[in-house]
Amino acid sequence: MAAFRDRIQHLKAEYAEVAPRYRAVAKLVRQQAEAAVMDAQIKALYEHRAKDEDSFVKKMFRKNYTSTDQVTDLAGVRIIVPSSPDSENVCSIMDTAFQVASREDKSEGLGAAMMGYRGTHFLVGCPSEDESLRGLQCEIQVRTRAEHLWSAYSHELFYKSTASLPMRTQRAFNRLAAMIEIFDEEVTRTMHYLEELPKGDDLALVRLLTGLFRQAGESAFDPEMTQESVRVLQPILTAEPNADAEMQHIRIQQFFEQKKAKVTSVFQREHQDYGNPVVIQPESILVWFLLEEYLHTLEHEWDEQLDRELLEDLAIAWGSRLPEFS
Amino acid sequence: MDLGLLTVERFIFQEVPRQNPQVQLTPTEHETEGDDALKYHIRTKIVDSLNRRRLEIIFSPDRPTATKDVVHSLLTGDGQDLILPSQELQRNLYTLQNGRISPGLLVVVLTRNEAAPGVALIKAEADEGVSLRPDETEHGRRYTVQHIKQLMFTEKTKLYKIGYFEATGDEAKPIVAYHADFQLGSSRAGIGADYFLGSFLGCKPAVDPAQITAQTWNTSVTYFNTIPDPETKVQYLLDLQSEMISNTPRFTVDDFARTHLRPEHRDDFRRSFDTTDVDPASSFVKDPSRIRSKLRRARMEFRSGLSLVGDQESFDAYVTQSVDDNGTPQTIITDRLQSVGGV
Repeated sequence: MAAFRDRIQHLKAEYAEVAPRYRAVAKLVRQQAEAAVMDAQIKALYEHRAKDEDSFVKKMFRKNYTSTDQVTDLAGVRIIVPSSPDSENVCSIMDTAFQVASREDKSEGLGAAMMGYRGTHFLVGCPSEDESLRGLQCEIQVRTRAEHLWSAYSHELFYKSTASLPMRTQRAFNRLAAMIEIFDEEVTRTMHYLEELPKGDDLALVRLLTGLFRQAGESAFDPEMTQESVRVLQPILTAEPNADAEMQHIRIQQFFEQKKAKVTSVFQREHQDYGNPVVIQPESILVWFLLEEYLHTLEHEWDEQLDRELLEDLAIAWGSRLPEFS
Repeated sequence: MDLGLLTVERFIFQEVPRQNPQVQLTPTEHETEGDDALKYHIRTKIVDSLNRRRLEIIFSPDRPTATKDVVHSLLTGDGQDLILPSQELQRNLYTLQNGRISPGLLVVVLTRNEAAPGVALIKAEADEGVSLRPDETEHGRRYTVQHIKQLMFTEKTKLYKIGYFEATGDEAKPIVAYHADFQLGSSRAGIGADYFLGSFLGCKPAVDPAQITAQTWNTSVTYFNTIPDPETKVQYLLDLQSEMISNTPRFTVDDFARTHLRPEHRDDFRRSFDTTDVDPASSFVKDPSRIRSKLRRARMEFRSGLSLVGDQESFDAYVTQSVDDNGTPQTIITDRLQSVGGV
């Protein structure tokens, strides 16, 4: 008994020594993954952690490991995306962004007849130049929101092996798992429909702006405010003869690429306590584009339908001129 | 000039009272310790003012002032000492404070626009106002009112006079500078009497007023001639003539567009200046000396080869543009023929 307790203490002490390094690895891998995914304009949620001490000890016992190195998920990052195509894209990004030691697609283990968790897990090397972190590995899990939900439920509810459950419970389990798969497929189908909408549609512009907004490092915004502003401002883009919406979207994207550093800095500044939170909206990027390209039309349309003071705030934040309001 | 990432770093206030031999000028000995919120507020006021009414300026070789040296030292020096330079500026401005010039405060602000150091010199006048605070008493709500005599930089008031100088790092043009003035009257005399720009800053407009006025005229008229509707074309020309000869000392392309042009023409008009030296957003001091003859008289040329020449008042009184029932444009002259002759 004493030897057992000694071993626990020994493992705890051993882990306490390495845990800070794994925390650093997890944080670093998350940052690099987040930057790569953001560049591809994919909206995702991120989690990172170093394994907690109790889990480490239990795993060492459960798996009969003799060395810390045998535990491959001491550092972990989770990337949760809206849809299956997003998940596939993020997996491709991980393949190139990191040195991948192994990749496991959990759906492959399920076969055709089984339902269940279908995320993809990578084991990657730490990208740091830091000598103390070199050689350490991190697990990256890529999953859809539905898979994430399923994973959380299955951990809480189905702690037993499904094979040992009564037939009726097994069938219920399979129905639930199938719903998750169907849900993911319906999300994919709906997103495909949205992408096929004509570019002149407000929604296409909202999607473009929110994508750019995320690239500027932002996520939280008021969607109703965005929709209302886009409804008023979208017609400006196509008012000019020979100006089609698709071409204008490309111009907005080019404008953003050129001014990305400035956009990011302005958002960061307005995040401060004294800043103007109303500026931190996706449509601000459109307003700044219009201030530079269609100043007068913007001003005219805005004054007809929106609050003048908001336009002044946006112009001051961007450092643009607005003809004096008299 | 892009002011989007301008930040305020340090600032100091110096009192500039009316000249009075009985009273000694009191210099401020310490910089104001402003928190980030206050610096953000002052940044907002500077950007807003310069964006609304900016005139590009340069130091005038004809009017050397100590301001030039102080600005140079603040932009190129180590920036450690703001107090002594601001006191020197205070003394300079004080010597110009005659009886007609309102007392106020000189605010010397060190800024940074991305990497570029800048200096803003602001002559501001304090406003009066009240602050209201509701107090809930046992007898109900009561407002406590406090009268504030030194109210500055409010949301609704604009800085009165500002000179902004920014180091460019370019040897050919080491400093770019702008001036904005919210007290400048509408009379042409106002520009001559602009003690702040000329006597204090020692500056003058960066571009030759006669040249930029002529360039603006020519670019505008070229644009007007691209408009198919003759009535609109003529109206715009007459409006431009009126603006060019009005008593307002400064002209801004954007303001003209906003005041006189139909919304669908404004941005095209603005873009027509892309290939010129005229910044549609900046003011310039009008000098119509090179286009004087064009301002007195307007000329209409028709496809038939006929021409109509006259002064602006006559066009307004006797010439109308319209479209007949078939959509054909018509120019109607309502007048009595006085004489004819061969040309």
